[in-house]
Amino acid sequence: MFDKSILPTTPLFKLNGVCWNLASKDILKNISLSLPRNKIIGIIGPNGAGKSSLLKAMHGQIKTSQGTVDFNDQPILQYGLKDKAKQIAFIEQLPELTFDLSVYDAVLAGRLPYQGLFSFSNSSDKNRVLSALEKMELLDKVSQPFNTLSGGEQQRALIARSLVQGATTLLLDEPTNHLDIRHQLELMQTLQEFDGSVIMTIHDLNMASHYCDYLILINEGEVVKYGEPKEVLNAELISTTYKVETVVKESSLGTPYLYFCLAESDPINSAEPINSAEPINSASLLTLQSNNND
Amino acid sequence: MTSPFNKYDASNLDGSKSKNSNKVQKLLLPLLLLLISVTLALGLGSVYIPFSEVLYCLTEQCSSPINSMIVQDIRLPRVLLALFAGAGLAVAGAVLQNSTNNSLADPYLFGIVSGAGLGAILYNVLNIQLGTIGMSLFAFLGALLSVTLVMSVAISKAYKKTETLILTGVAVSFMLAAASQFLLYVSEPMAANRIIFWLMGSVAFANAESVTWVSTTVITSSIVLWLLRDNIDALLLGDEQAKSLGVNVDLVRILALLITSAMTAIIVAFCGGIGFVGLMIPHIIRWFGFVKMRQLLPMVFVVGAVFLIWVDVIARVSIPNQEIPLGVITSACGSLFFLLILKRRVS
Repeated sequence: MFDKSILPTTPLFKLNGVCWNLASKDILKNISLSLPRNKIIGIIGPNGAGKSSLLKAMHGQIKTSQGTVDFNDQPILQYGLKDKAKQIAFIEQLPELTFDLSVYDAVLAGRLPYQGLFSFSNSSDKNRVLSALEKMELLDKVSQPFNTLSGGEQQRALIARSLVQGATTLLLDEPTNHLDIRHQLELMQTLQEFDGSVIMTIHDLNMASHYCDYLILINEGEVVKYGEPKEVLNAELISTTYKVETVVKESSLGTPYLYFCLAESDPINSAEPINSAEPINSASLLTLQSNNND
Repeated sequence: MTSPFNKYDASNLDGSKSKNSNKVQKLLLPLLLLLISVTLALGLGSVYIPFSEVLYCLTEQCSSPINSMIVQDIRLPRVLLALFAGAGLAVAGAVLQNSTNNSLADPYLFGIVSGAGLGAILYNVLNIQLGTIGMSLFAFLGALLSVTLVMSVAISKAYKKTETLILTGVAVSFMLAAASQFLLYVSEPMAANRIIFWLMGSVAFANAESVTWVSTTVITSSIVLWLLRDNIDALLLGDEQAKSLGVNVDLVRILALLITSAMTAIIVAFCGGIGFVGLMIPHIIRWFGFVKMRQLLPMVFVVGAVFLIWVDVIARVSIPNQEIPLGVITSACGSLFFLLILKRRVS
């Protein structure tokens, strides 16, 4: 189904008036977007904003109640399971496997889109797995059970699987979740080196600012702003969306850097102060490393 | 420059903990064990026949016609029936566990055995005359009924929770067993007696016909399941991941369940209810690091066969001039094993 004639200018994903409701609650409201290829695109927004749902709608995992999602100019719902899997790798929040599958087996599963119901992997698949694991620096863990890898290693193994899958588009649901700073940075670096398009939901706005080419800010199922980090990470927008006070500065790399705190008028601040520090003003704002753990 | 891949022996990549051995070597020991078990089992029973005599009898050079009759006509069908029933039940267990991503799935706990039993009893009680096919067909329909009931109650994501699946299986099992008991209660006493012994599991009535039916079904089903192995294993990644890798999750699971139901039903139709083989054998094999169907299936086939051959030997030699039903022995071991697994899980 992959069409070689697709122009570099053809949008990777085109969403047109996408709505989705679950148990009569509107999760996605009239979302229209046109996403370019070969970029890293971050979906940001508060908890429950609809980030994961938007990602799932793009992948065709949910049947939207209104609107269409096109992938490479074709409705995503029209793709066969295998055709879709050859082009898009969907990496969910880290799975916990019931049985002790080895890293090798977990990555080898990336060849499934190329197998029929009654066919199985061959020796060329084995070489693909080994070379993907080498690329992800996991070759020494090849025989270990997947469950025993650290969070960062598991993410890298799943990216190795998407390489084996031959996918040129990665959809990742909060890939930096549960990772320490070093592993987060390593993962983002890996994604930057990925030869294709990456779309992910992400909580850490400074990380998103640094590594993403474009950001989609959503709130209550609606797109608040879509554009380059400089346009989206605007103090007023972030303050309103996240209900925090925000100051945006420019980092040494020229990307926006955000500082947050709770507003003075926030109900939580009307309680007894925890310490007797000076009232917080924008100059003495604490840099808060956004907490990834929901 | 040497390739980095040279450091890793490709034969070790299948998840097995035993290194420096290939697939055939790994199967060699169990196969040897199977061969020895079959030969020894042919000699053991109320009349002891030495190992060498068994070998002579198998090659038509028996010293006495009685020994020849015992080995060839009585014990050989029996040992073969135990071999294929054990293999089939162990394969059914392994496939149910991998396809539902649940380590406690088993044809017995899933209600498949009770369902097949109900079908077979119904066939006997209604006195339908359709020959062996009729009995097998009724057992299959009964097995299908239980699988449908279990899967429709524990639908979608719920069966991922071990407890939901097992409790549903147990409830369905009780329900169908109650129906079977009612049928036995209202049927004529002689038939009830016969059926009760059969229900507890036995290979005592083995003959050429039953061996042919069970062996053909078990071998055919195992081959089809072997061909489906990569797709069944994909379900170990979880349904969403398997789907995103292009696997038709529902189709693979339905096929796996249908084939295991048919295989279990035929075994139940000829050997009655033999529980827990499908739970114990795959568990033990997994302890050795065999997780994927590629290694699990051949191993459980052989080890399941060895296990049931020896259970049958115990059944016929432990009490002189009497037989213990196989199901009694397997359920006794199996329930203890089940408790052991639960204890390990808790700790």
